Amino acid sequence: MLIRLGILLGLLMVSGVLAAEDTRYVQSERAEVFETPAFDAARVGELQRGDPVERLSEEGDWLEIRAGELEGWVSTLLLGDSEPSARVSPLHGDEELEMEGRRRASAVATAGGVRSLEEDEELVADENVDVDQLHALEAQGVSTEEAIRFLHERDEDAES
Amino acid sequence: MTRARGERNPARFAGSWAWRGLAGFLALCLMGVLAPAAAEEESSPRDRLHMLAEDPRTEADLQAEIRVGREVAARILARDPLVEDPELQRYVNLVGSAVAAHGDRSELSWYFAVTDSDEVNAYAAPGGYVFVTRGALKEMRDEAELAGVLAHEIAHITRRHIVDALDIRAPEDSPLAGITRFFGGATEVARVAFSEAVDQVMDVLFEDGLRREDELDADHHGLMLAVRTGYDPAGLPRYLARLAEFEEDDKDAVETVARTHPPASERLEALERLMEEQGIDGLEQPAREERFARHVR
Repeated sequence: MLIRLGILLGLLMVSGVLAAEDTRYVQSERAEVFETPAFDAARVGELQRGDPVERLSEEGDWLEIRAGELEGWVSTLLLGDSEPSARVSPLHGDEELEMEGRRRASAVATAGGVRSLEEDEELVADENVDVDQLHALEAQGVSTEEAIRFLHERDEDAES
Repeated sequence: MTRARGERNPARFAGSWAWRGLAGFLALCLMGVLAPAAAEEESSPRDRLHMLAEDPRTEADLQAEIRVGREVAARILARDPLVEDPELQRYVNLVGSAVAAHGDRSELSWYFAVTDSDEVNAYAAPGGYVFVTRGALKEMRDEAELAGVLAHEIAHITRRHIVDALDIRAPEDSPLAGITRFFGGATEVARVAFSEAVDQVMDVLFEDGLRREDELDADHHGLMLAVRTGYDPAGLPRYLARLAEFEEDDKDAVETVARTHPPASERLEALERLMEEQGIDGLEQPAREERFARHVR
């Protein structure tokens, strides 16, 4: 009896591990789910970034998945083995580049002591960067939400 | 704009002491991006570094990629500044961000720029910075072509072609960098290595190009990305067909792209095969010609 219980528990644990291995996560902001593995197939639903899906089968670049009530096919390119990373902003680097921009004309290395990061930057100050333009570029970035709204303007545009 | 985006997508440790600590740590250690590995033994300062930040590799490698890409972007803009047309820039950012949202690197903030250059070209710096020249935009006929070209560049970033080719990563893997961060003596060496990495990316973009297979891979994944976003699959192929004509008739206009990419005719053939294999050659999705014409004059 104990042995059977042990085997049962073992099987349960193994199946648990297998189930965990068969979970994938949506990496894109959204991922359309199709009825069959083809882009011209009927769309049966949509998943959001971070949604876990259960892998049912695979065919070429397509994965058959189940997510709650939803079943269908998703491009494998949009799925990963772990949850997507948090978004990273590059803006923490501003101070460093600005400093570089301001000081590039007067790069002077100080002797002795432990060098500060600023001084190290002066040593390799790059005269070929345009920090103001970079800031202008970053200021014109749009949010994903704006971009998706814009994308979905397609129907009213087509009517106009 | 990006700050607002950050608020909507809080970092995993945002607001916590752990995040602030890690951010401070990264600010220090990222100065040593790409430091060469020189010592085999584990040193005690390095051990302490590993204890200070749990799994610093993933986060730090990402920061390294963004930092290198950001400086490359600043250099590109020093060569070719932004076209002074906020409406046009916004339009290209909307198209590009919509495409990028259908790719698998949602951890990146994406920036798109139309640069003031007559040359017909587009390029991507690591970390989410994508550029298309005014000359290239002039040759496009609809939004699907623009989306296709941007998707090719986005694919270079999502597939980490430059990051892998140049082995751009944080210095945690380098024992020497671990030591020098603590004692400060060779941070300069690390900083020079970082600067060299930026130089190398510029060389890849404007002189040497990536491997032929990376370009074909970006075409493949770019086309699929544009299709997933909902655009006419033939957008990128149409643009490449025009590029192929330039390669025949006006080589000067496509000098850099011809030097850094396989011939457009070869890329076109590969895409036509892909479309047939994937059964998307007859897929009817919009090209958005009218909307493109309204924004790009």
